[in-house]
Amino acid sequence: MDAASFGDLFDEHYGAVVAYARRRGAGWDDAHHVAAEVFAVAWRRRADVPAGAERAWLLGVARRVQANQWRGQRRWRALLGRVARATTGELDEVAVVADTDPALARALAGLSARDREVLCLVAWDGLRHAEAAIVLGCSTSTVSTRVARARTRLRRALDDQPPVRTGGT
Amino acid sequence: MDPDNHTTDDPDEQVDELALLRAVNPVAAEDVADLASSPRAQAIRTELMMDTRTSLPDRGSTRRTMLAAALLLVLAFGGVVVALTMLGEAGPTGSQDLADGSSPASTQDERGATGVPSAVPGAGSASCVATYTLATLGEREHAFAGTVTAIDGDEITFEVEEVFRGDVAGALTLGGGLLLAGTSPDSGPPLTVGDRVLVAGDGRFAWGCGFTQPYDDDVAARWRDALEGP
Repeated sequence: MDAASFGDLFDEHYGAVVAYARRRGAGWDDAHHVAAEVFAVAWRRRADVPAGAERAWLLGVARRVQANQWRGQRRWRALLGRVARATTGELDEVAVVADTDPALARALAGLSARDREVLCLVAWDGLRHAEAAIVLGCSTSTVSTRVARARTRLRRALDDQPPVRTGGT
Repeated sequence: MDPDNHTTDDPDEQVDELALLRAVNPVAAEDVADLASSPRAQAIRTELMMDTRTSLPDRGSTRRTMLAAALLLVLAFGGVVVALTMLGEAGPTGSQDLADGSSPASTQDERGATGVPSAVPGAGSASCVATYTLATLGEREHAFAGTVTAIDGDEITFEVEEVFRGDVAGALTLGGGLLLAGTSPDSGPPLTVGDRVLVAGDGRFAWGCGFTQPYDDDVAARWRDALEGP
C-alpha cells in the first residue's frame, strides 16, 4: 500500500473508526485517540490490511486498542481512588444505550459481553457476519451462531421487560 | 424463535431485535461522514504521512500532501512550527538547530528562545512535527516536572511534582504514543519507572521531540521562567 492508497484508506474509514469507539462509550477525544492509534497500526502493518475488508480489519484493531484503553483507565482510576463510572465489560454498550432506552439497556445488560458485542457490530456498525468475524477473529459461522443466539436471548430479555419505547422522543 | 432464521448475512434482512438496537445507535453515520476532513483528523493524517518519508519512494506526492496538511496542522495547533527537515526545507529554526544529538550544548534560536541541551533523546528528530523551543513549549497546554510511576503500553503515569503550566496534579496518566503530539512514537526519550522528567503536552498526550525529556535543573529553571512568567 503506497502513501496515496493509505491516504484514501484514512479518508474513507477514519469516521467509521471514531464512530466505533464512540459507540463503545468513548468520549470524542478518546475516540480520536483510538482512531489515531488504529491508523498508526494500519500504517505499520499496511501489508496486512486485507483488500475488500479494510473497515473490518481497522475495527478489529480498534477493538483491541479500546480494550487496552479501558484497562488502563480502570487502573488509573483505581490508583487515584476515584469512583469510576460503572462498567459492565471491556466495552460499554449498555451505558451508551441506558439514557436512550433504559429497558433495552437492561435487556442488553442481561446478555454476555460477547453476545452484546456481536449484536452491536451488526446493528450499529452495519457489519456483515463475515466482516464481524474479522473484527472478532473468529469464523463467519461462529458469528452467525452467536448472532442468532444473542438475538434469541435479547428477545427473551425484552419479553421480561416493560414495553420498550423506540423511536421518537 | 428459530435462530436459523436469523443467520442471514444481509443486515437489511435482520429485523426485530437488531432494529431495536439500530434505533438507539449512539452515532449515526452522518455524524461522522466528514470527520476525516476535520482539523484533528488531518493533523493525525499528516503525522502518519510524514512517517512515510522514510519508507516510500513517491516523495513528490507525499511532499505535496505533507505541505497541504502541514498548513492544517499549523491552524489546528495554533501555530506550531512544522519541521520539514526531511524534505530539506528546514529553516533557521528547523529541528537540526536544536536536534543535533552529538552536541550537548544548549542552543539559541532566532526568536531568542533558549533551547534545552540538545542531547535530549529524540529532540528534533527528523520525524518531529514541531521544533522544540521555549516559544513552542509555551504553546503547550500543560508542562510539569514529575516522576514516572507506571508504564502501561503507551500510557505513562507521572507523579506531578511541579506544575509550570496547566491544570495537572497528583498522579497523571498521559498517552505516550505521541501521535497527536505531532511526533513519531519513538521521538521521546525512553522512559522507565522512577525516571524524573520534564513533560509538556496537550490534552492527554505528552509530546516527544524534546518536549518530554530527562529532568535537568537548568532546563527546569528555563521552563519555570518561560511558562510561569512574572
